[in-house]
Amino acid sequence: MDSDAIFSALSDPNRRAIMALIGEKEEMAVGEIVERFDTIGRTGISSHLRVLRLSGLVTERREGNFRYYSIATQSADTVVAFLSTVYKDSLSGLSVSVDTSSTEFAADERTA
Amino acid sequence: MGDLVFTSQTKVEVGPADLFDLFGSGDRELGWLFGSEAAALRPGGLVRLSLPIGGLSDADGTARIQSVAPFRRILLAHESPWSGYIDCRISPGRSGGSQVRVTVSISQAEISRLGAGFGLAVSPPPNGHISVGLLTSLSGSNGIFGRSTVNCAQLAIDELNADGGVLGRQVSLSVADDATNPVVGQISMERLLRTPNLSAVIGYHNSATFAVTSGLAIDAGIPYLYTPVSEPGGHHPLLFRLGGTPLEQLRFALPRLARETGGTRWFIAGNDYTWPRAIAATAKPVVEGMGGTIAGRGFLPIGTRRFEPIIEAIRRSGAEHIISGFVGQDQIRFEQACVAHGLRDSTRTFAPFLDDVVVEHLGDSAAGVWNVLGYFEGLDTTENRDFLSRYKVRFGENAAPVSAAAEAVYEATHRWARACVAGRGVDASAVVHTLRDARFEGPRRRTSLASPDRMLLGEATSTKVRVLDKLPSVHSA
Repeated sequence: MDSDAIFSALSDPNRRAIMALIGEKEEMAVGEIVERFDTIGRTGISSHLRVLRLSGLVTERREGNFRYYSIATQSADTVVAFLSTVYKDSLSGLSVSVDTSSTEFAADERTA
Repeated sequence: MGDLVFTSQTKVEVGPADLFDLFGSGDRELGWLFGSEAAALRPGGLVRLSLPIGGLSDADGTARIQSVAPFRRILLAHESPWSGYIDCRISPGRSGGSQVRVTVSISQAEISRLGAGFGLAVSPPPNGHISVGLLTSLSGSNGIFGRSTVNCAQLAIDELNADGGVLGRQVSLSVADDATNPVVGQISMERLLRTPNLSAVIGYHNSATFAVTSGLAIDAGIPYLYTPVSEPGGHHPLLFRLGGTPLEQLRFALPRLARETGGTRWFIAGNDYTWPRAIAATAKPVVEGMGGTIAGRGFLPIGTRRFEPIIEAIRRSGAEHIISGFVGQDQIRFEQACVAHGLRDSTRTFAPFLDDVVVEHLGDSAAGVWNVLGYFEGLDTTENRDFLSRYKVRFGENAAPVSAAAEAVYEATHRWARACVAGRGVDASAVVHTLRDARFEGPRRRTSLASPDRMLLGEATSTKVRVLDKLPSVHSA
């Protein structure tokens, strides 16, 4: 799972909303998604869906001229990947650093 | 289940003492915990984090200091847009300078809640439990109100469950975030409405979200308890508007403010959207009805940074009072600008959106601003002191302050439970007929929808809202 790609896909509020919407159904046609957003046209929705598909967050199924989208994985790894990228940058660029390239980062599960 | 832990560490040139002092400077370039901003390094102090997530407001994350060990450690509780802990530890470097390590821990339950916002399935509440939904804002510009709102809903649910549940059944809370965005609000409400054994939804969010979610609740046949101050309208037996109206706020506050100042001239300023314009439309007849004059009006787009022109217009108008309809970051910048340009010395401000949470963000620029709401944390009743002490026992001494929003959600949850008991059922058919008369004796003493909401006049200091009214005792009411 490419954390950076997932973060970059989900750091856009419209793409988060599209994910939440698709998650409401088993799968959704592009037209159904477009209907729900007043401020984004079909082209905009299509390009958001392409980003989500390329980052592995949604799956596309083609049937004739129609395309249907569904959430690719129900694993919480998506959330973990997103958060790990958020916090990876918590000290990045700390300008009093001697050597920022030595910034180490780790995400792990600690059992309570 | 364990918490998820994220760790980041780096070496810096300066020693631990200097690095510690730089924390909370708000300098994004510096990059110390996302360039966090803290007014004071003391337990309970608010920290604003500029999280690198697109689409949210400038200071979109908030945290609260839990403990401070000078030059060594700052422990924060994350409050928005999600909950968790942030532990910042500083140690001397082996060859001078220091080593800094940030450890963030987030509970599995919170990870699962966040997953819902990314389209992942939500695990259903335990079998046999009754569900209550809470739709609130945990991210976006109203995200600052969310944490204590969720806390207070949970506190009420815990109290009900400790008392044997509702009609013998335990209650579960399902929380959804509208992200201060009606599109997301609609999706979140649809999900909430599919929660098994759902009895009611309680909402604290803006009217733009309510406009799209109220119809969904009606279609689903679920009672919807909407708690903020709101414009009247959209009547339906399943919709319960628990907060007062702007007209009630203004009628209660403006004559008293005018008596205090002896002035007659009012300037209405605010962001340019439905709610501030509704405040302005409501204020005009109230002001004129008491012999006053609207000296001027000005509306600026959300995200405005230059307030000098409107401040000059207010000064030229000769107004002695300002009705401020700015929200979020704009409210903070406007009040700061008023103080910086000396307007606070010549005018008094009434800000209908100002509560304990906003005051905390405003700090010194809040001092002297008035508002009227159903609740302020400083309300001096035995019931409120007991409530706040239960809140602190449950969520810690340094938990997010209880706002009017949070108290309203606490009351709404208890009123729903009373209505279930009175109606002998948890279905809409049982609750809709009893909810209006369901009384609750809480922090604000006895309240019910059947009697008009009791308003309180509050004046902000730099840290809290001082309540200028006293509630009558329950016995004399």
